[in-house]
Amino acid sequence: MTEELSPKTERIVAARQRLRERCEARLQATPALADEAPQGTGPANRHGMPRLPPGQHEAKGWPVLDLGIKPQIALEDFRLELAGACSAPQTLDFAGLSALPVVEDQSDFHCVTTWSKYDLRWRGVRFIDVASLAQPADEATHVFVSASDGYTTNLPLVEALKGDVLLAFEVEGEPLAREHGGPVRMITPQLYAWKGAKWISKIEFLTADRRGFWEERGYSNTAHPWREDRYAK
Amino acid sequence: MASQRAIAVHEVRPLSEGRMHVRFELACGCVIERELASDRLIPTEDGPLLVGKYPCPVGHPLVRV
Repeated sequence: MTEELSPKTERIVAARQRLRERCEARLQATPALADEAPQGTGPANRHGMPRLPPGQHEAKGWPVLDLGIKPQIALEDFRLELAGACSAPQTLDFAGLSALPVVEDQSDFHCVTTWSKYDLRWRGVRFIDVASLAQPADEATHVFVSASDGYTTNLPLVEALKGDVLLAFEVEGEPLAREHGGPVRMITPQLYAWKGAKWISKIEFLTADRRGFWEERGYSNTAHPWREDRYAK
Repeated sequence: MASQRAIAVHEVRPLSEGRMHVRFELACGCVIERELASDRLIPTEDGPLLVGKYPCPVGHPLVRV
């Protein structure tokens, strides 16, 4: 028996399908999936890149890096604004966010400050499902992400649509701690981790790129770990 | 003001639990001191690695290392 989907869910599924069809070829051509001679060491990770990107060191602990402000956001106060070049701008609360399909995923975390942490077990919702709610315009090429501490970052839409890009609210079976960006942060396992904002508060779809906090301060706009792409060219 | 990576750790002094006082060299050559969380110091084969980006006190441009 086929379960009937609500009209809202049907719209999200259709929008997700359109996004995938529109972006799949470019997504598969991104460096973390398509580099034929990636840098790094160790066995191949699940997307075919050496497990440890060049210049990185495995960290057993989990260093806490931020702008010096750690916002305290109660779950009931969490809001995520979806805005910009999209046909259904809206603001989600935590109930609205977690009503999307919740997934668990294990991925590695590569910080530009040369440490990597393997096999973090995350739980959250996929960025692509959040984007499907907002329905980005066909002209949307990038996303600009803002956080409650004033931090911002930007990335191409195709990088954000990858299946391992999550808006995460649990890690290692526990609610995401404040110092790691709780209640909700974004993760970008195929890019350096600064592309995933802690304390995420807004996702804006852009028709042209706009640089975020570190991107304006000399760090790479593209941030590909297996190219050791740490700094602006 | 550009934030630089640390390239050498000169001195580490433990403070209260989970904190430390560190004197270290930035990629631009400036030596600074900070009180930081202890987990910012990662042991590696090449010696301790201090992770993070720190503002240069005299505003040197970002050094790519």
